[in-house]
Amino acid sequence: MTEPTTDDREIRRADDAALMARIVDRDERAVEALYARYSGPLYGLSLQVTRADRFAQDIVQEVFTTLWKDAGRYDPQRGALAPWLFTLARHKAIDLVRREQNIRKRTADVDLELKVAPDDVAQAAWHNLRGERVRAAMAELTEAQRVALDLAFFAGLTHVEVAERLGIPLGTAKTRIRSALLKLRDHLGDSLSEHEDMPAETAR
Amino acid sequence: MDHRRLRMLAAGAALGDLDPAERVTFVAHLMTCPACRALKASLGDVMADLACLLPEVQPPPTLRAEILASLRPPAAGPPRFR
Repeated sequence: MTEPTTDDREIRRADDAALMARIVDRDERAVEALYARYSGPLYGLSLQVTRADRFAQDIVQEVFTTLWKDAGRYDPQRGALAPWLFTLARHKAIDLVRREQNIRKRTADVDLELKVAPDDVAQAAWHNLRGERVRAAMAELTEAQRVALDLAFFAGLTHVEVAERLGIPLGTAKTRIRSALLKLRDHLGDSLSEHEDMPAETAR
Repeated sequence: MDHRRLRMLAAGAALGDLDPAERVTFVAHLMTCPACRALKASLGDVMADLACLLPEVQPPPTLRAEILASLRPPAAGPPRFR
């Protein structure tokens, strides 16, 4: 191992888009930096969905392999890196669970009081800040929406499974989950253009 | 297409739950509608915000080394036998 250089320090402080640009140029240190930033949340998410350590490790590995292979396809203009990574992990996790239906017992109750246990102060602050905003927005959902979203997102059930669990048609389950996401977004208050004035809710 | 339906499709896209017909409709619409592109991106951000509520768990330390090793093409060394 060599001494940390100015360049190394720069990498640790670089924003996600700059790190992705370095990855396009095959700089492995940028992968290490993103790993330091995101492996904890990604692993937590994967564990939550698959409930199996081995699968969660596979998912995190696949996410970083994809990141390395497809860095050139990431376009910072179209959105932040974190959602891209989390969506990737979530999709991989759900695919895996679908293939391995028997790897876990689905618990009857979803733990709604999820605790964040970050290992780093800055990361913790970031998490708490955003976590608080999201918790406040969650409180604005209807009970039906919140339960559906909890099952789909935090328990990682497929939408078919959410419908079965709640004893409602698949279309209704999808509508509830989608409405919940839209309502959260409206309450999280990112200002947007034309569609802003439209109702968040739809019944049907 | 009515905006309420488009909002639902944008949410479906962010959640990754569009069925094939919905996907075709929405992808075609996205080409022509910057507002829906922005909406879809902001819904993706909300998904990331939701992930902040998940427990952050450190993976085993061996995983980092495994991942970094997997990025490199196998070194050209002595031929390996299987």
